[in-house]
Amino acid sequence: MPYRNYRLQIFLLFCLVFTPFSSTYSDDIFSDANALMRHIDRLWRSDSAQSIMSMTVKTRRYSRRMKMESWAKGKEKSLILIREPKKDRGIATLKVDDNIWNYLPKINRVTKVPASLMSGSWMGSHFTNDDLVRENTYEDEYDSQITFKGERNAKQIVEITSIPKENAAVIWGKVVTVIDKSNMTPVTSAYYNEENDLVRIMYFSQLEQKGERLVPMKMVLQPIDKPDESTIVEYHDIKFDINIDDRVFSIKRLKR
Amino acid sequence: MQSKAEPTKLSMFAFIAWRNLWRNKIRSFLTISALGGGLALLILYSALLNGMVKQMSDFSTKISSGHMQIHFQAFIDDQDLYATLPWALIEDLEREFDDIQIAPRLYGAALASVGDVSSGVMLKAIEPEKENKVTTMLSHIREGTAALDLIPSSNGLDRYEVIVGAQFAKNLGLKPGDELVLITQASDGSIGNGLFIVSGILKPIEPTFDRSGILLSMAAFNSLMYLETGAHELAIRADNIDLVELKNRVNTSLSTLKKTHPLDELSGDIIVRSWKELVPAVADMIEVSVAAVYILGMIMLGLASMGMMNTMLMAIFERKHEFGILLSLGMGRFWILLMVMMESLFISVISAIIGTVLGVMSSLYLEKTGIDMSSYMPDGFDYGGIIFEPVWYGYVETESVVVSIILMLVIAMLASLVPSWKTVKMKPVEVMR
Amino acid sequence: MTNHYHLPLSTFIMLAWRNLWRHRRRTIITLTSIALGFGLAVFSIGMQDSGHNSMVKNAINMGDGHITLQHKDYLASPANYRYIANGKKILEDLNQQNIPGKIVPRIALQVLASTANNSVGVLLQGIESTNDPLTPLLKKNIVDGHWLKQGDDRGLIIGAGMARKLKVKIGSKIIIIAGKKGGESESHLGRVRGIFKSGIDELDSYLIISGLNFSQRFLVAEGADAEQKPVTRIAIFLDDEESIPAVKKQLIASNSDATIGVHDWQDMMPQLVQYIVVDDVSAYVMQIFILLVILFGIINTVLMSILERTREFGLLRALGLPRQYLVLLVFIETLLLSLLAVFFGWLVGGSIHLYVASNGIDFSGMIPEGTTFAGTFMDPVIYSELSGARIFQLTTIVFFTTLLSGLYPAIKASRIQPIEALRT
Repeated sequence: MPYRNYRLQIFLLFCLVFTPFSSTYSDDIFSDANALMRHIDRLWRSDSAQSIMSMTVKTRRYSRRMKMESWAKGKEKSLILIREPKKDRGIATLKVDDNIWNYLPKINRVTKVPASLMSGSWMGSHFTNDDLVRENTYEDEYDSQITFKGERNAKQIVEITSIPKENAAVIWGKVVTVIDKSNMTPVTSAYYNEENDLVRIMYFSQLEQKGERLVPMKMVLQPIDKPDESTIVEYHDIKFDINIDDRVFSIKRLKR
Repeated sequence: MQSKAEPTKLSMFAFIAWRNLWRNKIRSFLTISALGGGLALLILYSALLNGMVKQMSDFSTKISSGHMQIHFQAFIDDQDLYATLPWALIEDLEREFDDIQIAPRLYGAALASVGDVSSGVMLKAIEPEKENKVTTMLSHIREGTAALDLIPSSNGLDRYEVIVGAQFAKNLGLKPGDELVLITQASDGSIGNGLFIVSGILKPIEPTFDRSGILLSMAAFNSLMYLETGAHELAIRADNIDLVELKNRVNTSLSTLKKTHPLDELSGDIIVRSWKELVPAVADMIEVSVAAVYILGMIMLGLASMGMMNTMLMAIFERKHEFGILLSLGMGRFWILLMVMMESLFISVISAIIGTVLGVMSSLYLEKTGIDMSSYMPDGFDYGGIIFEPVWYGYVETESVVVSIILMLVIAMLASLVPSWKTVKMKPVEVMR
Repeated sequence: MTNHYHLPLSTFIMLAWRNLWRHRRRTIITLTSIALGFGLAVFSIGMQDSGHNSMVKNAINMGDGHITLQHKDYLASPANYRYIANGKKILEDLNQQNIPGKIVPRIALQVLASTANNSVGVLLQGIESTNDPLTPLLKKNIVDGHWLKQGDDRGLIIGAGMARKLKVKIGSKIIIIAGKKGGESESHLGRVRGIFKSGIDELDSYLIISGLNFSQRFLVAEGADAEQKPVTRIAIFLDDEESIPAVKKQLIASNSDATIGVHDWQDMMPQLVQYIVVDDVSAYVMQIFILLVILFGIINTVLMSILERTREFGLLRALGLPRQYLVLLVFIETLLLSLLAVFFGWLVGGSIHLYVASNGIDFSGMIPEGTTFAGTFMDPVIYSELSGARIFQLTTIVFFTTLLSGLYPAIKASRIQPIEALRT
């Protein structure tokens, strides 16, 4: 499977440093591309988070639907547990500091997976294993500019084009994000290679209020060269800033 | 009356020529030993080279790849997991071609984990019964057994047996009885994982397999991969069958079968290849060896013939007197030439017989015993991607022997032309002085 | 009958010499046989040795030197995190030891190369491009772009096969991702500066070359200290192959760091060693055959000479020449013949060698797939090579074989009974 790097998706899985979320922004924000991207960045971040989601993968070879539960605490700890399908139930990926383990309940074994050995996709989706480790913000890696402000498809939107900084380790040539001005949520993210070909698009929908945030609960990742393939991620529940016991993040615990 | 005289004249000359040979026994004997010895050497050398060539082709055909293989183009290009030839198609092929043996195989990439160490591996799934009819792969076990069964276990974790490559076993410290974990992306995208137990370690046959190969049964493969649609590769054994003809038959049959069995377009064409196309390096090496034998042969025999030429020249010089008398008695020059040529012919033929007997006997000995190099390399050696056994066996091939004999006869006769010609030029008067 | 006169040695030599040329034709035929056989031997050995050496030299140049210093566990179980932390100090120490050859640091990592189109597992080889022997080897195969420039810490050189797989061209970016010990990964951006095509699949599709400073970033991510100049290994390319054992010994003795192993190329490339052993065996077999051929070339004529000369020997004995002198005479004849054989042998063989040594034979037409073999390759044009050892070997073989062939005649000569001999 080809490598696909979807950065925003990653933040869902491994959450990072908390920054206070404010729902009050002045109109000026819509002139500041970086501020807008920062806002998008933070939509899914908090000190800790727990979520339940399902991922539906459709390729020309198979169709699969998985249900997963995930916990994240700070930058260093996270756990993903597969609930469905039955065959994969109990498979878990644990990250603590710089170490990553996979637990396989069927054979009751824990293995360490060195990222460079598995160039395949993550769980058979259009994401890849190394998508799991993305620590940098948009601001760190991209220079963003507002390229359009106005109406498109009966919506008031702001379009931001982000070009990777000179030495940023991202495979994309440019990323174009469209934000709905009325609620400051992302509508689409389009990924281009360096030759300016569109490689894939991420569609956001199903906005829900989670505490102070309005979060898109559904994301569809669409590769352009394979129009009948897609990966759909749907959140059924997200809880931000809850108390998660440190003991959740241990291998021994996994084996229960 | 006349018709009876001619053959008699010829046979008379033959008789004389024969007797002439033995007038100087030692000289004749020496010439024969030179020519015969050269021939024997040539036969021996070609037997050694044939042995090497045979090992190369045997390796390809009997140990690993079979005489012919069938794949989908997509599998040849990218090892596409989904490019499988459907089982129904395979069964039809088996039914139609009853003079060959077919062994199906499946391949996949996975991650093997032993304790804390993980390593990328190449899985190769076979059906042992069918495989044994096509290759001798399973008989090259170095340690342990060649079993690929399912071992039931008390705590409910059944494990399939697997055979691993020697270098792989060494790198991960594996021995028969050890356990390993295999993780992969299954055909439906899920995470295939399973526990396996090492039953045997395979001797080095192919360098890539040796480093990262794991052999398992189709059932074991599918417990991990869920790929039950068919096989990636068909290895065919076709003893004593012309491969070009077979390839044509198979291709014709496939074009018909393609219509009755709907095939995945994404997999491309079905490609049939003979072992020479699969390992062109081997075919090249074979050609080079054959050429080498010819060149060496010509030189060897050329040298031996030079000796013969010298002997003949000396003999003719000595017999100048005798020739002179014959000429003045009226025997035609042509007949003298013929007589001398016949002498050469007889010597050549005798040398051929002796040389062949010596050469073939020593080659047969080498066929049985061979040159033993196992003190240097007990494992055999990797020569350009092919693993050779450490014993160099000879192999007697009739064609080589016949060619060597003919080569010797031709060269010897050519060499004898020079001195013989001299007799033609002789003037009786000068000679008799 | 005792001898009561004493012939000076020079007389014998003169007599022997004249004897040789009395039987001119036989002597010439013998010498021609030997010379041709010898010429063949020189040619085949010169070519084989050269092709051999070419493969070994290329393998060593593409590999990691005649002697390699790396983490002691790396050979058994390679891993990115098994690196030498204090490369700077070790290089300094090595330079002080005045080892005749090139000493180059290298950082070799198993990584993932990613673009927007695809990703593949590759070997990233970080080198100091000005000094490293890998540079001239691959630079001549550049088909697009150019080699790394001094100071370029983001440049990558990739093979044509990989360019195709990743769908990149000159200037495209490739993200290199390396797995770290814990399981996490480290990524850095690199840009394609040049594309090479060597014809060797392992290089064209699985190798990326970068500067040392680019690869070093990954070692730093594993915890190394950049100031100490960490490396994966230090490759030593010696000027003289013969010095390998001595230098290896010296390095092992002077190495105080228990985590570092000192290996020679045989340790690093065992398959190449096997290839050479096999080639040597087949070469010896061929040499034996050639030897036998030479022998056959001579034996016939030599033995014939005995028969012819029975009368002559008998006459000499009858005239009063003592037995020992006859033997001596025959022996000196053979000795002279041997010397002549060596001379003419080298005349033919030597000129063949010199011709092929300067002009070479181009094999590229004969082997269509390219001359890659056993993980290394042979230069397509082979120039004959003969080492001092070989020359000695061949000379002694020819000399002693010819000498030995004269043994039988000498023995025969010593046993001749004058009266019977005269009757023939």
